[in-house]
Order: sequence, then C-alpha cells, then structure tokens
Amino acid sequence: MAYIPKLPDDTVNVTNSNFIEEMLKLVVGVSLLISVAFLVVTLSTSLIVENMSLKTEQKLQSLFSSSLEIDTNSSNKEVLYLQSIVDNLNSCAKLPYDITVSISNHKEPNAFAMMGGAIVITKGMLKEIQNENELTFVLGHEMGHFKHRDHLKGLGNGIIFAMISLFVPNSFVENILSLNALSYSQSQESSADIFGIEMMLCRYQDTIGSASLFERMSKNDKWSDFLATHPDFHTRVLEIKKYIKSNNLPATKESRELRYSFE
Amino acid sequence: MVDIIFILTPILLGYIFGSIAEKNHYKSIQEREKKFMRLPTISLKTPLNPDNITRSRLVVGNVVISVDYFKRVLAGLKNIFGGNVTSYETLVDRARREAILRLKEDAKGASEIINLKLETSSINKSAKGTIGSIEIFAYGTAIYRK
Repeated sequence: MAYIPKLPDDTVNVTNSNFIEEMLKLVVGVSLLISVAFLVVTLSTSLIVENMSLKTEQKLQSLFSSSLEIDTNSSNKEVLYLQSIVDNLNSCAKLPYDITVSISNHKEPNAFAMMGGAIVITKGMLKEIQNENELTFVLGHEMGHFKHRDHLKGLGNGIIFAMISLFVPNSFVENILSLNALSYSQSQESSADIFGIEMMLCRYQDTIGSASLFERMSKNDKWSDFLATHPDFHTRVLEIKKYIKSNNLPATKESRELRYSFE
Repeated sequence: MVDIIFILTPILLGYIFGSIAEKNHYKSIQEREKKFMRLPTISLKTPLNPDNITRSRLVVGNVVISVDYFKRVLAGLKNIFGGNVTSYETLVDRARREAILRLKEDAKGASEIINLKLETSSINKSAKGTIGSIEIFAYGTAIYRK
C-alpha cells in the first residue's frame, strides 16, 4: 500500500461563509420574531386589561401588594403628608383599591406607579417640586397610570421578557431586551398627564402648577434620567397647555405652599 | 445608549481580534502542514511497511482554543433557528489540525505515525457567563526505522 502525501483540503470541513452577513440576517430575524411576539402580547393584554372587571383588578392588585418590599415608615412626616394628598386625591380618582406612597432615596428625579397600588417617588423628585400643586400633579399623574391600568398592561410585556430570557440563555439577547424594559408609552403618559390635570381641578378647582414642573425640567440638563423613561418633555408641556386652553380650564389661583420642605 | 455600547463593544472586539488570530493561525498551520507533509500519519493499526522497525512510541498532541465573543453570539442566535453553526467550524478545524501538527512535532525522527486518534472535549461547557473553549487531544504510535 503506497502512501500518497497530500495537504488537507481547506474547503471540505469549513463552510466559506460571510459571518457579518449571517449575523445581520440572524439579528433581523430575531428582532422580527420578538416584535411580532410583543405586538401580539401587547394587543391581547390591553384587550384583556381593558375589559377586566373591578373585582379582578382588585384581586390582581392584592396578589402583588403582599410581595412589595417598600419601607413604609409611618412615623415619617413627609410620607404621611404625601399619603394624605393621595388619600384626598383618591376621593376624586375613585380607584377601587388603596394607594400607598413611599419615598425612595434615589437622587434622580422620578416617580413610579407599581403593581400593588404603590407609588414610589424619589427624593430627587421631591427636592425639585416647589409647591403643593406640582406635587399633586405628579401624584395625580401616577394615579392616572393606575386608573388607566397601564401598570397591568405592562405586565404582559414583562411576561414576554421573562419567557425570552428562559428560552434564550444568551446574555446578549437578555441585554438587548432589558433596554427600556417596562416603560409606559407616549400616549399612556399623555393620558396620565390629562388625568393629573383632572385631579388638580377636582382638588383645587384650578390647574395652576400642572405645566410648571415639566417646563423647568425640559430646560434643565439634569433631567436626562427622567427623560429616559418619560420621553419628549417639551411635547408634554405643550399638550398640557393645549388641553387647558381648549377646555377653558382655570389657572388663576395662587399655588399652595408645601407643608414640608423636602431637603 | 450606554447599554448598547456595552453590548456591541465585546462583539466588535471579538470580531476584530478573533479574525486576526484566526488568520495568523491558519497561516502557521498551512506552513507547518507543508513541512510535515511527507510524514505518513494514518489511522491503520498496523504499519504500512512492517520491515526494519527498531522501536515504537506513543506520541501526543494537545491544544485548547477559545471561541471569541462574536462567534459565540452568532452561534447563540443560530440556536434559535437551527442549522449549521458555521461560526464554530473554523474553530474545530483549527484545533484538530493544530493537535495533529503538535503530535507530528512530538514524533521527531519517526518514519510514520499509525493508529492516529482524536479526542474532543469542551472546557466550561455549561457554565453561564463564560466563553467556551475546545480541547482536542491527538494521540498515535510513532514508528521508528533504521
């Protein structure tokens, strides 16, 4: 048996493929799949959530309220003050469950409406608020999210995030998905703003202070963090003013002073 | 924005450095394959020519090659749809040829190598957050003649 020396053929075991092209194709494919899944789930959850009875909503809320781990230090006068505003507002908002307010120590100005009927407002946000009317607007805005069941609509997307991270144990895809996860849409923010205005009308019979906070925010660079989750501030200020003008809402009274200065 | 940079940087670095390393490795592999071309290396259990054998010896070659982040992401995306994971083919090919070359280097002065066998294992196969590496171990019997 003769041995015939031969160099290995480079093309047999290695497919000659363009990796960049393959990567682009796969990324486009995955994004398409995810977009379709999101669209289906978002549409079906909002359909379910909108047609949900008050009783089911209450049940869902109580399901989550026990799992909340927020330090509700009732001896804290600041929290009690915020709570009294929210309790008063709820007689206007008529939410079918109680709302609890808590303060988080974050320096970035922000406020959240969370599952279980909890509003979390950051210390950074409180520092920037100059009068009670602005505070009422911020709290009313967050209650608007509860009223419109926005937090429940976000739940469907949260489930998708969890499901995708289960099926794809790839840190790359996980990272992509966690970007801008669970933030409310522009239209949800706008209707929450309008709800905030309605709350001020109900409470003070006046809308002064509804736009002033956002106006200051849109001029200030410090707000980039808030901008990230609450996009397009300038548009929102314009929309608030437009709503007040087109409905001939009063904005003439003096704004009320804060009972505590949040320093 | 910062998140996107965090995701894209390792992929880009993986692509650049992975491509450079792979190109250089293939160059070196092809050069050394030419050098060792005349040394018969076969998987038969018996030598081609049973005459004049003075001694035989176990020779081994071993290599561990790591996959780069770009290839890993590409393979991860491929997992969703299925199909040939072409991005790992060059990795395995390089490791296999390198292991055989190291085996041949180990067999200095041999007239032929018989019973060539290859073993493959992957290092940190399932550990989450780590980048996988492939180990290929080549072993055979070197035949020495007068």
